[in-house]
Amino acid sequence: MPDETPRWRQRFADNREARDWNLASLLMSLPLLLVGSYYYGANALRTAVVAALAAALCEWAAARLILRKRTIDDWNAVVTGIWIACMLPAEVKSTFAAPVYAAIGAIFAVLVVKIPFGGTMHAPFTPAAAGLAFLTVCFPKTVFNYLPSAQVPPLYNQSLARMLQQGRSVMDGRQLSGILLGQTAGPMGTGCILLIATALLASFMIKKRRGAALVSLAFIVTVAVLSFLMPRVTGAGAGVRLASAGMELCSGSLLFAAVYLLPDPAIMPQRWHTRLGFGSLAGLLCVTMRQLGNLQQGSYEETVWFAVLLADAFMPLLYRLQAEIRNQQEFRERVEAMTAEERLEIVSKKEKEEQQRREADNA
Amino acid sequence: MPKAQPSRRWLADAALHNPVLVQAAGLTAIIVAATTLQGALLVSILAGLHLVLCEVLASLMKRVPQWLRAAVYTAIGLAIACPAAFLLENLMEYLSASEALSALASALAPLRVFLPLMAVNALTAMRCERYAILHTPGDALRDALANALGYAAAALLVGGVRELLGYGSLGGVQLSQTLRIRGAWMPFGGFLLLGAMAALLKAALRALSVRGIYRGAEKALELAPEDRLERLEKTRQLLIAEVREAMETKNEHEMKNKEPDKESFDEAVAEILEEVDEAKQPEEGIEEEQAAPETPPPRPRIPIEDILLELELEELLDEFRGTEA
Repeated sequence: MPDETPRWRQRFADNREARDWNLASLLMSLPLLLVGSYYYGANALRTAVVAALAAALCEWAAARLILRKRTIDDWNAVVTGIWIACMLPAEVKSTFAAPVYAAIGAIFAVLVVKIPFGGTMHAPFTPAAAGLAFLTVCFPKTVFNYLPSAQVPPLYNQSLARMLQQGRSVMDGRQLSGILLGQTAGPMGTGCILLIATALLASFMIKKRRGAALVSLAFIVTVAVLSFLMPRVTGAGAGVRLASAGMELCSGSLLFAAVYLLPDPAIMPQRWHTRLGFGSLAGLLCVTMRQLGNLQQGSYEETVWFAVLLADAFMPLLYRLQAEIRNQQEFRERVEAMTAEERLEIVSKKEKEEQQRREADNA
Repeated sequence: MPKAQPSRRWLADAALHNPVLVQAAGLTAIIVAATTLQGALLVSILAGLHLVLCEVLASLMKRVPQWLRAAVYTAIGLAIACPAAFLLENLMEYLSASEALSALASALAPLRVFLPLMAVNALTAMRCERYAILHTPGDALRDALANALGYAAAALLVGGVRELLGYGSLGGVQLSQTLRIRGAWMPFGGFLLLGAMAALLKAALRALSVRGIYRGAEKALELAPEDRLERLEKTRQLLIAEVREAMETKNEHEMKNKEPDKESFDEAVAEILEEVDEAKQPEEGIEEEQAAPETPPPRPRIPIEDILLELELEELLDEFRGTEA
């Protein structure tokens, strides 16, 4: 089996490039945090800071003890913590406060997904997505318990994802601006669709992030098309389908996952066509899970992080298939370049081996 | 060459070659059924009983063909699993009738599925085929007890931690009302916990091994060079015997009608001899210096590389024995 690890995993030449990438991601995430803190007050910032600190401390200690090297210089732990906080509610009515759950998710992401595999550039799954998946499975009532913002009251008393599960449509031109600005019940940092769309546009304009933007775009287009074809909103007509597709894209953490989680440089493929395939696969998985969730009572209202993890899991298989196809092509070219005598030599050698194997079996 | 004797440290082998954490066998029952301490205890008892009976019988079935031995292990497993399933059903009815014990009933529910599967436990087949069939019933019994103890220790630890984190109780005694992590009693929690425990065990064994080697090296420094040479020679003979036994065990099962892979065995032995010879070189230098009585001989030291080489040799032996560290 060909070892693809050096070529497609270690994407950055040195730690400085990885640090630059993560600092840019952090910069792109800060406006979402600011909007979240405007809506939900100091709780949002507190949750994010606690999660980032927990992730950073955990990575520093674990990397020192287990990996025997320093890995927090690339700032990935801080980014992971902040992304986990962004995808959680700012306030929860539960046993522990929101920062505690964010810290648990961040510690899980670092200790289980990053450190055992050698650090950021070797992790087979997106750490933030894994952290959220863990929190969703362990504390589902807490993760989806969205308390309304005191500063800016939400437009609806339920989240868009919950309304989609019930088949309700709310896409009204008058309230579209409120939806785009994040005035809906949901995670504290993923509701402002306008900011996330701006981050996506900015990724297209920065040369080094264009590949990441391609993955995000493929995901978004796939989700939009499939949601249009299979609307969860009850009703008929193109208007209903459009409303359903719009709601799917604006609900939960879908757009956030598309722009921030999915294009992980450690996992994302290198070629543009493979990137499109990766993004489309994640989109297909996300829509499938949401559709199946509609059929089952009590299913999670948001499953995008599971889709991201599944798509990440498919990547090594994809690379092995690519390597196999490439090997076969090279073999075919080599055979075509051979002379007739060389081909005859190889064939007679194979026949001799086959004969020996048959004799050994008979014996 | 004398046949290597079975290890007398059979209790220590329960940790060193733990069937769950090192050999990664019999994981299914632990991951799915050991969600509480009671469930883990039941799984351990059944697995231990199955292992002991099968290994002792396997040591007496040396002439039975391999294809038939697998059926015998399964039959023994069924003979244990069927009565246990019957007893469990009655127990579940009794527990479900009581409000206080209904939680225990739901915790033991996964065992209903896994009791018949215990009849085809991978751990039993592995130990019987790799060890019991080649040794006497006494040695097979010792090996079965060691592995059953190791299995029980791992299962009880996993079950206890999962019950504590998932239900906030231990052994049915409620300790905490607030601690409830659903993922702890789910299979993925079991996998994560087993992985973490395996890593901790390996780290602990490595630390103890290094400390033991350093202590051994310190004592060796106090020995005279001739005694040290004799000690190295004995170690070399022991290592060769262990490697030979491991290769014979492996070859007997993997290449029945073919001759053993002599080349790879000779290579392995040559490597060991080379490494031990390299370790001997400083002592040879010291012996020459001692021929001139006026100059005091330099204090001999065993280089750190040799100590680390010993560690790697142990892992090499583990590989040949088929254990996964």
